[in-house]
Order: sequence, then C-alpha cells, then structure tokens
Amino acid sequence: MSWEKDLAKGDKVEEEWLEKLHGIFQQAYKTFGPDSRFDLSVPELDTKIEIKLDAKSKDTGNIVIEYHHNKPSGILTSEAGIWLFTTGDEDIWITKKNIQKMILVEELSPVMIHGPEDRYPKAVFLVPIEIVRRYSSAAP
Amino acid sequence: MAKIHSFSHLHKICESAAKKTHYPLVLKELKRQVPKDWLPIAESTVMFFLPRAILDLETKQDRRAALDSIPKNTPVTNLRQFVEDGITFLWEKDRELGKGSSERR
Repeated sequence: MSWEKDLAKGDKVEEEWLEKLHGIFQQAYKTFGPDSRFDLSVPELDTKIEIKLDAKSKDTGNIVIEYHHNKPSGILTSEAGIWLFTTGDEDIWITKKNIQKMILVEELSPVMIHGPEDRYPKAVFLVPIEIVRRYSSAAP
Repeated sequence: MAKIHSFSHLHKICESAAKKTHYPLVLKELKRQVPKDWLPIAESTVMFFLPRAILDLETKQDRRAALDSIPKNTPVTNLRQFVEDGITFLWEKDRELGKGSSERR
C-alpha cells in the first residue's frame, strides 16, 4: 500500500472518530499537517488524542510505536495524552503514560524499520498486541 | 568512535551512555561514541535508558541533580517529565519485585 493510501485511510479513521465525538463534544476538532503533535482535540475534556491505524498488526501481531523518523517523533513528541490504536477489528485505547510505562516495565527493545515508501528509516517499538491490551484503558 | 554494526549495537551504546546520567554528559558521550549520521537517532534512543540509569543512582540528591541537568528546550516534548515518569514506573516495578527501596537513599 502506498504512503498516500495509508495517509488517506488514517485520515478517514480520524474523521470517523471526530464525527462520533461531535455527537457529545461539539468543540472537538481535528488537526492537519504532518507536524501535528496530536490528531484530535476535545477541549471540553481538555484532552488530546493520537489515532494510529495499524491494520498490519492483524498479520504481524505487533503494534508499532514510533519514536524517531529522521527526527524525534511519535511517542517522544506527541502532545496527546490518549492514544487509540485501531487494527480494523479492534480499538485499543491507552494513555501516553501507559505506553511509556509499558516500554520501560516490559523492557522492550527498539528496532529500525524501513518501509518501501519511507524516505528515512523509523526507530520503533514492535509491541505484541496482547501486551498493549494489558496496559490499555476504556475509551475516554 | 565506534562503527555502528547494527541497531542493537547502537542500542547498547545508548544504554551505556545513559549511565553518565547528567544530561550534557550523556550527550557528550554519545557524540564521542556515535558517528554523526547515527547521532540523532541515538539521542532519541537514549531517552528510554535515562530513567533506569537515574533511578539506579546512589542517593536522592544524585537523582535530583541528574533530573535538573535536563534542559527545558529539547526536541522531545516535556523530556524532563518523560524521564521523571519513567523513573516512577521503574521504581514501582522494583518495589513490586521487592528490590530497590531499601537500597536507595
């Protein structure tokens, strides 16, 4: 799948969640641009959300948590306190602090991946999905 | 300066550099050991080793000094908070495993 298609799919998931949130929180909004430090904001709850579509996790069994892509990124730069990993079959909500806790407590080792469409390699943690579930919480 | 053979090699260098604990010294150690093209990724990777390295310091004063050496304006969002939270998570884990608290002053 090309980077553009990935981006479009991710964008669609964000739009869908924004629509759901708008049912309760009318001030919720979505950010735009590659350097956004969160995807959705819910001012009524003072909450920022990062949404990661990870459809490949259904095949690999791992959720990808990025922290460097040519510069610090992902978990190191996101301002979102709540993250949503969506596999297509399952939505996993987890706080940013619990992601950090999971990485440290489970002593996860980072790896480098270089997707065919990526200009630069990414440094990531590949976390087995059952471990992510253990640190997850209910939707906000 | 070491030639980086693999990402796990870089990982090991970062783990060792984090043991300097004083943030400017950690960066200096990375600059000493890591080739320039690997340096940005090493500076990001070392963040995940700093909490353990700081927690393992002898005294509370040493840990405080290490935390105070982290500047506010880093490319990583709230780095100091990130490291402080990490120390708390590891301290809780150590306590659950029944180690650390009696040894730490």
